[in-house]
Amino acid sequence: MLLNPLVKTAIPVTAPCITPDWFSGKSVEEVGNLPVYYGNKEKRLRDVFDIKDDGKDIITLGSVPTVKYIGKGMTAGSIVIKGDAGMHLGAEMKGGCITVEGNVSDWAGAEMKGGEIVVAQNAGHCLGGAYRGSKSGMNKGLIVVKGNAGNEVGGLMKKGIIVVEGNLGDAAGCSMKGGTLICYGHPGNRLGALMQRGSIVLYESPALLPTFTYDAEYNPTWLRVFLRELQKTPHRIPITQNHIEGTYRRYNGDISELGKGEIFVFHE
Amino acid sequence: MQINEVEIVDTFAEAFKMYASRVLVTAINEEWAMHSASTVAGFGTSVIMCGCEAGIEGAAEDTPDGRPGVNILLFANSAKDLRDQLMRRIGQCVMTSPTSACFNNLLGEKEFVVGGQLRYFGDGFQISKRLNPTSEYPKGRRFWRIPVMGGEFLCEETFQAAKAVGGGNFLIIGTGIKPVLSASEKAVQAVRKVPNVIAPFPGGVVRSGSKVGSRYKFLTASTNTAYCPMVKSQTQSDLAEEENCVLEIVIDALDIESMNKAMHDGIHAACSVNGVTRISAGNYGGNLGKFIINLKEVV
Repeated sequence: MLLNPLVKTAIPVTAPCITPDWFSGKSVEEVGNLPVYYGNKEKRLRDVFDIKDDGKDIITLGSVPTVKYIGKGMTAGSIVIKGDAGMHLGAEMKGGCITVEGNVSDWAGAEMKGGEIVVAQNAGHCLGGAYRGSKSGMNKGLIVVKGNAGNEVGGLMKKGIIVVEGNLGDAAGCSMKGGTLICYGHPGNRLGALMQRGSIVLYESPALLPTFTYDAEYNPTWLRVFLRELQKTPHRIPITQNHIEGTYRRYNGDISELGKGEIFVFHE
Repeated sequence: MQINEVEIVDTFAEAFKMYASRVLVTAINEEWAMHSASTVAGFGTSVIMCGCEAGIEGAAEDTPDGRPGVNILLFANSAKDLRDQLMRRIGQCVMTSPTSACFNNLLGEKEFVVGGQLRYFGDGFQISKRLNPTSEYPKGRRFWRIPVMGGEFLCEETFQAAKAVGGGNFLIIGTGIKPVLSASEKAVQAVRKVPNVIAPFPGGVVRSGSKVGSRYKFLTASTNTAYCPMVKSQTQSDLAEEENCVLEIVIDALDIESMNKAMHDGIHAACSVNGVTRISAGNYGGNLGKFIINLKEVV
């Protein structure tokens, strides 16, 4: 199914119906009749998008920087966005794959429970995070961002893997409860603040909070397993043999909280 | 029927339904992986006294952590017994071995917690890591990282067990210990080339085959007098006058096809040695085992 926005607008479009689950078994007319919000007005999908059936199972969209909640709660299938995507992309998704060829806005993969999100450029704030008041953020799944990511990446994250190939904003991994956050660029300030459990893996030296303490330098076997699994994905994550076989400095924290979190900094 | 003038006795081996697990041990190099694996497989010749039958299957080509690894196959009468043995053997032989890590390497119908119990050795400092779900592992593989003096021990939370075949066997009968031992070595070499198969006894060979029952009430099994050359004249012996030695090859396999292939290759290898007179097999009249492996069919 091909969806191209009819108008370029700054008004947010809320379209949680754009998922393979909702589209499955529906004709173009039926898909066009699905409800969306254009600002605060209820409209139909056909009012906002030009919809064509290309005979493929994949949902392909043009650049949609103001369309929110694409792929929300999806359980299977694929969505490809040929440009930028709006807020809450893949929020609470449970399976399937979303590929964004441009940038994605805030809250992408928020509270997701499975599946994959791959962003070719930059991601906004609260990537894989928890909504305010929620107990936990991302819980299983994989997010790969080829560019930079904003603040509070992986906030309250519980399980799953986030890979950011560029830089991280501030407070990445804040209040983490589990899962793995890997960053190849520069990590921002207050990394891992209030983290209880979980692992952050870095390939550039961070400015660590004083509530993180140095433990040891070694080659962690679990990381070898995880990196090799990531190497098998088609996302071309820049994992080298050195990253797998090299040593990492392990820091434990945040000791102002439970203190069972860890930051690994690649050494050699 | 004869192979290289060695008679293949018209009899059958009786094999039993067992449960098997494949444990993959990795380490910093092959030497340390083998140290750990050989200890895991140690004292694992017979379920009767050892709790399980275990053997090294061979080196693993592609391991989860990319380090050298060795596969071990363990067989027991039930998945519960297998779990008990894995707990003991991984806890005492893999966790203690420097640089080692331990992974499940067989998908089966039974699943039991091993790493999830061993984790308590971490005294509260253990850490769990879970990979994302795959088709083989719908919940995602979960590992426990246990802090140890040499670094950290990585162990998979659960291991799996599949139905398997145990107790396949053949007897190599000959004129003396030299030809029969040589034939046994060749047979074991051939058997160990077959995937999914182990020969759990020392060097893959058993010299003390048993029969059911004993003249002593407290024993359920005793030496197989019919094949003991030393008491040929005192018992109802199955040995001819010139036959002075018998050794047995016992085989456990993950499936009956692998068992048949191992029996075939092993018997043919044994028959290539001069001095071997007959190949026979041990059975219980076909009443106890689920699998009947007819020697003439298998060769």
